[in-house]
Amino acid sequence: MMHFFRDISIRRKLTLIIMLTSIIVLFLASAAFVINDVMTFRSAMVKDLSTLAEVLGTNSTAALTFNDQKSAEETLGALKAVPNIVSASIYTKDNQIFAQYLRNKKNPGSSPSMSEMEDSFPKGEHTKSPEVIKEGYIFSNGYLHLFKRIVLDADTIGMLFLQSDLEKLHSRLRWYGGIAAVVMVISSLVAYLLSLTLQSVISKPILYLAQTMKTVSNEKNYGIRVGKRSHDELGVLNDGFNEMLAQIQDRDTALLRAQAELEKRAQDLQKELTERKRAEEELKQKTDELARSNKELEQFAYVASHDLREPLRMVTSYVKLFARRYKDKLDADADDFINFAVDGATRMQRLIDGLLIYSRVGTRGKEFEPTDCEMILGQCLNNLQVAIGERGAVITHDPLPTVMADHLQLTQLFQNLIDNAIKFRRGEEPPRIHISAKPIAEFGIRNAELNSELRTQISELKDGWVFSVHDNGIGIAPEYADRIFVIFQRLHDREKYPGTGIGLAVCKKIVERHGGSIWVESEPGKGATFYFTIPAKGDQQP
Amino acid sequence: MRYFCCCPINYKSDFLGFLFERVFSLIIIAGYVAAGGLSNAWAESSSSHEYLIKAAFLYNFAKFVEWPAESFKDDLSPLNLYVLGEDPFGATLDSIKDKTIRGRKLAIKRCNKIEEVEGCHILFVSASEKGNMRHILNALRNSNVLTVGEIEGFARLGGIINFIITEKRIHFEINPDEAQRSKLKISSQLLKLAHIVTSESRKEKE
Repeated sequence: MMHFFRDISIRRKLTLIIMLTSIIVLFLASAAFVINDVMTFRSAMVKDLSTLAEVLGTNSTAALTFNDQKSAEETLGALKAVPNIVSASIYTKDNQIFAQYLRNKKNPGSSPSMSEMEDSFPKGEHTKSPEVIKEGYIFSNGYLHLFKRIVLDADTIGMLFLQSDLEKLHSRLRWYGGIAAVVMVISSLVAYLLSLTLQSVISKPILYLAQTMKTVSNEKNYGIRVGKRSHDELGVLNDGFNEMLAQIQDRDTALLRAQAELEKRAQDLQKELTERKRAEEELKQKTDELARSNKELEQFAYVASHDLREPLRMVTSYVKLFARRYKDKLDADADDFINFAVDGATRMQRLIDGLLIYSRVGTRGKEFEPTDCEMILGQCLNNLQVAIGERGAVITHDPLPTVMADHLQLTQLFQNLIDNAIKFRRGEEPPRIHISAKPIAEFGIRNAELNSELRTQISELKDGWVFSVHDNGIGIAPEYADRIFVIFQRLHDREKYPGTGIGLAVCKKIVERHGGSIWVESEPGKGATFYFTIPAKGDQQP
Repeated sequence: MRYFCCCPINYKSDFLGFLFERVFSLIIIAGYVAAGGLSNAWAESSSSHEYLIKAAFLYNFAKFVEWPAESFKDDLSPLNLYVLGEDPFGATLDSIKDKTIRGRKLAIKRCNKIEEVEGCHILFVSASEKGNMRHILNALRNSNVLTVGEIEGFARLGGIINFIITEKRIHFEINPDEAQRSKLKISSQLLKLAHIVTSESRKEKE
């Protein structure tokens, strides 16, 4: 029921509420009226009956006193004129029926003995002394029973009993019931008609609001506003609704704006991203191109130098043969010319060899493997023993580690550096060279002049070794510290310090291939220290 | 009287029933008087029963008759019941002595001569006075005395109430003319129960 009520339209609800209220109130009012009337009627009945009993009782005193039953029955016989009296009896003091009247003689009504009635007699004058016979009335089984004392000269000489039917009361009740029913029906009809019109006072604005709400939510049009029709709570509701709509509209606009902005930003970002990607791709392409051209160049250099060696050897061999055979047989100028040619050819051969070595670093490298640096150093010293012996060089070293490296290239590296150190000696002073190695973690970068690129490279190598080759040679001016690693760059006169200008370039290339860095710390006249790093992992670089 | 009327109500109790038996014999007469005679039929069974009932009637007549105010000295003066002639009641009458009627005590007196009757309200003329009847009635004419007799023709000859026995029951005649002459008001209820008679003398006059 409650469920049903919950789901029906507010219009019906209002009608129902009004109807229900009116009907219930009407019913209660009718009931109250009827009950009141019945009560009044009942008490009037009791009063009438009581009066009748009084009269009858008074008229029966003599008959009772003088024990004249006939006379008493005559007196009671007058009750024929009162149709609602069913039976009447006069009792003597000792509860004997003295006289009796029955409306319907064929069907003797109940004329209870007084002691019988005693039990079913809650009402009446309950006097405390038991000797006084009780009088009173009771409604039971559709009858009104009434007992009245018959008093003579302040003595109770008997009791009068009257039994009246409730036909009058019942017909009155029927009549009232009918009236109430008719009134209820008519009133319900009126209430229904009234409620039909009155409910719209409440329901119309609500339905209007609901309709507007539906429109708003269907069309997503937050610009709609409801018109204010009243200044009651519904008006407040309308205002609240409008305000809410306004807020939603504001937020909607702000949201749309933010969305547009966001979209624009996303687009920009996308654009930027594509651009960056393109640039990256371009860069990669360029890098690839560069690497390819580099490789081509190396290949070219290798091929060129390799192929150049053959004709050059021929030139050199024949020029040397020519010099040996025709020395002193031509004039002095010719000897000089021949010497120049031999010298040039020799230099050219060295250059080409150097170039070949340089190009081989990139193209003919070997796989990295654990390499004992002590062993490498030993091999270098062995290779260089002629030069060492010539110059009286003293070479010392700290314990050296085993690293992941291409051992041929590592040998080349050490050899070039030691060779350089021997070559660039100060005057005739015998070179003193010291080689050491430290884990990178223990190595502090002392030289402030070390450029930042190098510094980051070193600090990035968390696990690896820093090797150093220290000499007491002529040293290098700091401004040239970078230039010395560039191929064919020479700082000194060829006559004083012969060389191709390739050695350090090869060193740099080898170190870089091993993922390390190489640099020099020096001051002119104070010797130089070459440092290079080799990562422990041995990251192979192309 | 008290016991008599309460007992039927409480008869359910055996103890009270027993008590009732015991006291019954002691107060039976008083009870008869109060009840106005349970059954007139007893009258015929014995003379004592007859007078029991008659005594009760005498007492009850007083309740239905009004005397003029001047017949009493004051509000507290008693209602005098005299028995003239041979007393047939014996001790029975004494049992109603000192009962009250409308606030007045009942006083009982016995006398032998009409001359002794003074300040009387109810005069019972005994059957023994049959011979003096006319004399007595003449003496009491216009005297505010309710005369009650048990002699045939008593009421017709100027008495007011006369006991008669019909169908073996005690009844009474009333002569309302005589009552009116004596300035006594007899209740219509009482009249209803009585055989109404009229004075012979009046008839003769008419």
